[in-house]
Amino acid sequence: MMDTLNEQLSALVDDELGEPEQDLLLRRLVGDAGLRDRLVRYQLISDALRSDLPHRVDIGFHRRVHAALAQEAAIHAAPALRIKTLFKPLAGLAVAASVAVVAVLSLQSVRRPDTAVPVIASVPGVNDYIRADNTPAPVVQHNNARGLDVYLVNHNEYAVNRGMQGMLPYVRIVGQDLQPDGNEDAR
Amino acid sequence: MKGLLIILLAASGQVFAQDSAREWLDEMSSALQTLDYDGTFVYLHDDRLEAMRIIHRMDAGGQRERLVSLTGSAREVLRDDKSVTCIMPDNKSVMVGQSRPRQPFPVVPRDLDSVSPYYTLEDVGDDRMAGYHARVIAIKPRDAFRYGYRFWIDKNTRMLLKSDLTGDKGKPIEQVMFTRVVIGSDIPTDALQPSLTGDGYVWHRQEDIHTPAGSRSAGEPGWAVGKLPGGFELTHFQHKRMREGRGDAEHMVFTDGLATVSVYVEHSPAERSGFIGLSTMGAMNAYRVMQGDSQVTVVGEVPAETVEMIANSLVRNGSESHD
Repeated sequence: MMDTLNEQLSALVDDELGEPEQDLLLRRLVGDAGLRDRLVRYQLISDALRSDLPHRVDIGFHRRVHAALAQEAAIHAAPALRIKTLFKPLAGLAVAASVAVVAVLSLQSVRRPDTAVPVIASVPGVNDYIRADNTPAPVVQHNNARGLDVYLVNHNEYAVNRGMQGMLPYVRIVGQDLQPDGNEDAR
Repeated sequence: MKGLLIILLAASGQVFAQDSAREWLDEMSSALQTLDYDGTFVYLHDDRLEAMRIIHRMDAGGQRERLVSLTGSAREVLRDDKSVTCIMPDNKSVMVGQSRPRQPFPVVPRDLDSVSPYYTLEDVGDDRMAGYHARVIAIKPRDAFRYGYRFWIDKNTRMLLKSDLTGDKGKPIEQVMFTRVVIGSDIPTDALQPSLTGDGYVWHRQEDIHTPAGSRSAGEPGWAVGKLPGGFELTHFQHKRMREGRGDAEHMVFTDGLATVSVYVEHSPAERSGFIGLSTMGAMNAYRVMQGDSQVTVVGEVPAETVEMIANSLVRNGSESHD
């Protein structure tokens, strides 16, 4: 079941999903926050593979937009955005009534940072790069890495020293959901 | 005679291809250390994708690098020739370790015979990546104790543009791919400064323990690995303190010339801590077992079976292995 859903999400991102399946999937997206998050990740992967990843990545954008919209009675945000053919049928829907649409629109904003988007939620700036979202990335695979961080950091120095991948071994430190070392002692 | 000639030509072609691949890898390794670059890349592992930015500068003061997460928690790693600092805002912790001087080139041993029993090098051909024309070089393992690699190398600067770490049947386990990289531009010092100060965070410092003359020698591990995959040799041994307030640990580093495995043995840990058994993080595997009052942790970019085998085969020097 999950494989089928993943395939449908992938097809949706690639604009290859048939219309009946598209309708069903979009209905499902309305009520499933996890599925919407997965859709955003699929879009990111798709963008990355096309070397189209923007300098600013904002996975939490649709959540903030949704929160902002929740305070508005009815806002039609769609006209200000360039909508891909695939999503045109959604453009006329009331955004506040459809979280799925918010998710889809946020994808558009991720894919086209230069597009004029109404300022609904501000993005904090940090130096010359932007961290627009402090929400932890959705965890798909839980690892069992409690207390491993000090070993990884130490070991990486020897792996880095081999020089094969430069700093790249450290991507595991930056990218993993390691537990704080202090928690280990608290057990 | 004609058949012999064909065989000789085929063999020489293979040697040439291996030499060519090694040359590309050497130059890539050099480029990663000597070029100035600023790039955004994605890290794909398991079912996850994360975006990061890396900034690297080489000047008279040596190498300086900064790695920043652009998704999830805003973790940063800063590294220079003296130290490596990991800032983890989600944990409100900072870890500071000693950086190790990088070895002079080449990365791939000149004596191919030393790696050829365990890996084959292959010049796969041309591709295009992140807007650059790239050469693809593959390193394939000959057994299941180690991973393979595929590198996309910029044909002009020799910069690494994409890196796959491959497992069984060449299937990618981890992929690192630049989506934007500027090579050779001036890197301002500000870009190498951390965006977080670490104020109010818990700081953890790792330190090597320099044993005074006449005391326990750092050159004689108290433990030995009973089962080690072919080609792996002990290249480093050190007593070190992994955390403040803890006892010292024996740290042994093994490498087959490409992959690296660390073995940590901590004597009389204050309490049983963290995980026991296998932990997997993309291509990095760790395995921990208790041996009496000693905690054994094996970490490396090798398959799970390899770290498990090494951890379970550890014996005290002087005691007999039951294998």
